[in-house]
Amino acid sequence: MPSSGLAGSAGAWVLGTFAAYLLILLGIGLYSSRLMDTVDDYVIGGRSVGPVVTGFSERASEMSGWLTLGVPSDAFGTGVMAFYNGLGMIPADLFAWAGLAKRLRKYTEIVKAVTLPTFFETRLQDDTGLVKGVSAVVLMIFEGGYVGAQIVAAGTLLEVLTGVEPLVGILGGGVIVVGYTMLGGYFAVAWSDYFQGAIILLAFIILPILAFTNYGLPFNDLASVGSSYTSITAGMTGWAAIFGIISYAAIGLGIPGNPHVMVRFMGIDEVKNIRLAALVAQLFMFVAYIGAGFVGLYALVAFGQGGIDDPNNVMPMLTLEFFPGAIAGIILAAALAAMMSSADSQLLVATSAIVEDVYHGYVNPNASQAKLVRYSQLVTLALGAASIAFAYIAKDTPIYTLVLDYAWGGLGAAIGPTLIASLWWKRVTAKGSVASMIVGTATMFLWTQLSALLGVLGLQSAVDASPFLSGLVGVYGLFPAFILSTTTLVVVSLLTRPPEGVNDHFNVFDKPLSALSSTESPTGTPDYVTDGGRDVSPKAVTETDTIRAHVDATDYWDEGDE
Amino acid sequence: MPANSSVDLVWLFGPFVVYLVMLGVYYVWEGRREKRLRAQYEESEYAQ
Repeated sequence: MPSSGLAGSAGAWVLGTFAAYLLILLGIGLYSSRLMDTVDDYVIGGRSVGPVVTGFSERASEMSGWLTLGVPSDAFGTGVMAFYNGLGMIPADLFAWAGLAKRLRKYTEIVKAVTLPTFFETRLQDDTGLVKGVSAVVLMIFEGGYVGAQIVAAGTLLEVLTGVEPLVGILGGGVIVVGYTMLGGYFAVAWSDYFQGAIILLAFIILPILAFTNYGLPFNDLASVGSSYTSITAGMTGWAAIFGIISYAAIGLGIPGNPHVMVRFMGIDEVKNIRLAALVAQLFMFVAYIGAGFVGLYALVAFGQGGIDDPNNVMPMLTLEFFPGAIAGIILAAALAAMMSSADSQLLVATSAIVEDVYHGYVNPNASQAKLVRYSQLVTLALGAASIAFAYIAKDTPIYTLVLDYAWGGLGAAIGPTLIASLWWKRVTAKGSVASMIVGTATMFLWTQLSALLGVLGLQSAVDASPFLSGLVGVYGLFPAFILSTTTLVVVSLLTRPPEGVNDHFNVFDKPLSALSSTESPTGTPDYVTDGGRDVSPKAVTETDTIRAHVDATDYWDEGDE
Repeated sequence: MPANSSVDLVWLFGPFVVYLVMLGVYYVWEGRREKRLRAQYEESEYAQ
């Protein structure tokens, strides 16, 4: 029985639960494999995943180890300011659901796009393939880099908890994650997110409640540890405080540009269910961010300042403090699984960029659906193996740090402005979009190297002398990268010629999906639009009949079903 | 908790309360928008 890890005797429960959990995931993958007929099924679940699972999945795929370990660790180190991790994320996510989800869902179904690069190409009418190519490359690098990192991080945490060699967790977890993603595609990924999210959510509800019953509210105890722990700016003042808060808020700017979040909008079963999915996802966020913050604060109360050597262990240690071995094992296994739930989503998005955008888009546009599904599965396998190997071998190199540290921000700055503009601004152009992607990615990479560059140029002392400049240089790179990327998008778009017939594209956004069935539309509207992937054989000969038949088939307008 | 604790708590959790209100407004507003869209759609369908 392993007992050399942090979990002690509960380590066996962690290992047992984790193993059982992985087997359940494999079962989900096997079951889902029966539903896999087209590349749409593989990449976005054939647009047939319900609102509750979609809401959970949207959150679980994004939060990963950052929520389960990162936020509690931040609260342990900085105090109440860590609650501001949700300051930008919660409203940004609401904005995405309210302003992007329905438009993206409707439009991508009309034009039969299952990836963001293909959506950009169609919406911006880019014949050169540049928008699709650049966005697919950005997406492959960052999402692919994420995959291995998450699995390696889970393997490392397993070692910390149980003493088991990290390679065992990496290989065991990696094989299962890649396996069920390959077998079950989006269905398997979304359903596994749902279970992982539910357990994590329960943990972040119960842990603070148990701690509260033991310690009461933590604020008085925190004040006795140090005044900065109860300060909303962590003791910072002036420009440092302002830029500190901006940095927290800027994390939310990454949401519209991260494709593993956006595909959830494309994969939901029916447009009208987006409202309910948004409610589920948002409530998840409130509970998770506030719960995770309190976990860190109560750990500070329970173990004292410096009482935990590695801040990443804050959540596991508080879990072991309050829960008996079996339950602690389940919760900690779910924390491990949360990392893998992000890995599977990112793996799927990276696969779709290679197969759907590159292979189907450039190499073989006439490929059959069966071939695309088969190739997708093979690419998932190859990409998963390569990502894990890369992450394991290169984890101490600058390349790895570049990919991992800047993935969220890089995607946010490169893809986000184009996505928002494509859905809301008629004047956006393909050239503006490409320029924005390049500027966004480059700024994200360069901003963090700014201090080193200033040092080389001998300007560091001048920057240090100015509170504003030193605060600005230290701000989270996504903030300047997003602003510069957006500015570039607007300026270059205004200087170039916009695509024609944009008004027709935008008409799509303001109509019910079932009303859009004209083959005359320049958007390439199919002659029979589905809602929720439920294709119904068209029996009508006129457009109005088709609409009526579709409405009947989908129950879209049924009373009381909103 | 320091003397200014009440002010700090307002600043700390105030944004979350605002976000919760925003969520409620969105949920109700989006529901009404759906209904309005349905009404418009049914109207245009009858017109045909």
